[in-house]
Amino acid sequence: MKFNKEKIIDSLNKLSNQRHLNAIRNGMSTIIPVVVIGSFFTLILSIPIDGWKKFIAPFATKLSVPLTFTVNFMSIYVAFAIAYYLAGEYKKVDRLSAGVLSVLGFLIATVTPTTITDTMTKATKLAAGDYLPVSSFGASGLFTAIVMGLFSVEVMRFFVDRNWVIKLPKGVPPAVINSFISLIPGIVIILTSWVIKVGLNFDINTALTWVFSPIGQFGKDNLASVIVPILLISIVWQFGIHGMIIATPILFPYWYGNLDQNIQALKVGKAIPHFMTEQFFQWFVWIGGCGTVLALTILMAFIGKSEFSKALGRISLGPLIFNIAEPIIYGVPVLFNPIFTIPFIAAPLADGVLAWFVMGVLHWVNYPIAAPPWVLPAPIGAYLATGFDWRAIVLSFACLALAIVIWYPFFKVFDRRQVKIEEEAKNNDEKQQVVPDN
Amino acid sequence: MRVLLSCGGKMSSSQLAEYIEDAAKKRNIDDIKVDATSIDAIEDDIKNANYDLVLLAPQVSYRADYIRKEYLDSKNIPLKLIKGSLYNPIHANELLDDIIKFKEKGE
Repeated sequence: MKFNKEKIIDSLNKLSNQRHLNAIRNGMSTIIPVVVIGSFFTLILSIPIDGWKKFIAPFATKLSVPLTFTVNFMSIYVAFAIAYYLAGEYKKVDRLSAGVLSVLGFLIATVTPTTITDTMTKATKLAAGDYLPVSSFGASGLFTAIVMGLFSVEVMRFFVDRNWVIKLPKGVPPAVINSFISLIPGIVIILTSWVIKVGLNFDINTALTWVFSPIGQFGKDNLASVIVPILLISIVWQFGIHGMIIATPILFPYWYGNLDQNIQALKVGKAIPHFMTEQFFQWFVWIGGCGTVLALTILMAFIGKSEFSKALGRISLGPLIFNIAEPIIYGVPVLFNPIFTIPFIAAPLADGVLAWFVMGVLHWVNYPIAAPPWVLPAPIGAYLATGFDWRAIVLSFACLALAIVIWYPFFKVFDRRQVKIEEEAKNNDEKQQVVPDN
Repeated sequence: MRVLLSCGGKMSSSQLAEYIEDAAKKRNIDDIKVDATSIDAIEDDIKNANYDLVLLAPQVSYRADYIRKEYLDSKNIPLKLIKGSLYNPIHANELLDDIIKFKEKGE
C-alpha cells in the first residue's frame, strides 16, 4: 500500500470542513461555557473547609438551581446551537428559525408531559398542572439533540430549495417573511417527531444510544478508552490538523455524559462513577496542549543551549502554561518535524497510562466532578476539576515530569543541531565581513 | 491598513496580533492595525469592518477555501495563510515585513 501524505491531508481537510460535522462540533462547543459556569456551583458546594461545608449545607438545594439549568439542560442548548450553525453553513436557511424548530422537535421527541390533576395533588404533594420530566435534557439527550439539529435544518433546506414555501408580497419585513417560510417545514418537523414519539411510542434517544454503542466504548472507564483517543488525536495532529476537531463530535457526548453522571452522583452523595471525562485528558494528558508540549517548552526555556531554543522557549512559556500550544507546535515546529514525532505521541500516551493507573486503578486521586475553563494552568485545573483534591496537583506535576523525561533526549538532538546551525551562520557572517562580495 | 488575523479560539492570534502591532510601533509605523478573531466569529468580523487583508493561522488553514468563497471573493479581500514556522510571536517582525510588502505591492 502506498502511503500518500497529501491524500491523507486532503481527506482530513475535507472531513474537518464537512458541514454536518462542523455544525456538530461548533454546536457542542457552545455547551462548554455552560458546563463551566454550572461547575462553579458544584465547586462552591465542595470547598474542603469544614466550617464552609456546614455554612453552605442549608443552601445546597438553592445553589444547585443554576446547575440544573446548565449541566442538566445541555441538550436543549445543543439542539439549538447545532441547527443554528448548520443553517449558517447553508446560508439560505434562516438560522434563528432553524434553531427554534430544532428545540421544538427535540422537546416533542424526548419528553412526555405529565398532568397532575386536582385529585392527585394530595398523594403527590404537587400543585395541579403539567409537569415535564427533565431527565433527558441533560447529557443523555445529546444524541437526539444532535440528530434533531441536523434533521430540522435539512427539512427546511429541502423545502426552501424546491420553493415549497409560503410566499409573501414584496415590502413585508424579512422577519415576517422568515417566519412564514418556516411554517411548512416546521409542521413537517413537529409532525415527524410527534408521530415517532407519541404515535409510535418510539424512544429515539434509546435507539440512537444503541446505534452509537460501538463508539460508546470510548465512554467506558478502561485503559483502551484512554489510549485510543490519545493515539487518534496525536496522529491526526501529525498531518497538521487539530486533532480535537475530529474527536469532538464523536467523543464529547460520552465524556460530558460521564461528567453529568458524576455531578448527579455528587449531588445525592453517591460514589463518583467515572474518570473517563474530557477533564481527565485536559489536566493530566494534554498539559500545555497536544503532545504535552509544555514539557518541551520548559526544556527549551531553561536548559536550551541554542539561542533559538532559549528565545522561542521563553517567549512561548506564558501561553503554554495556559494551554495555548500553537506558538510551540508551529513555531519550533513540532509538527512535520521527524525528530519530534515520537515524543509528540509517546508523552501524552505515557501520561494517559500514568493518570489512568493512579486514578482508575489505585484510586489515589478523586474523579472529576467539575469542568474548569481549559485556559487554567494544569495543576490548578486538576485541583478544581477533582473537587479540590490536592493529590490531583501532585499527579498533574508527575505527568508533566514524565513528559519532560520523554521529551528530553529528542530535545537534546534538536538543540544540538540548532547550536550547529547558529555557529555555521555566525562563521559565515564573519567570512562575509572579511571577504566582501563584489 | 487593517488586518484580521484568525486562529481557532482567538487565543494564540491575539498574542501574535499584539506582537505585530508592537513591532510596527517600534518602527514608527502607525497605519497598520491587526485584529485577532476566532474561526467561529470570523464571518461577523469580516461583515462588520473593512479589512484589507485576512490572515489565517496554520491550524485553521483547512477553512481557507470556504472563507474565500463565502465571504471574501465577493468583496475582493485577499486571504493569506501564515506559514507554520512563522506562527510564533518571535517572528512578529517577519510577519510585519510580509504585511508591509503586501501593502506596497499587493502580494
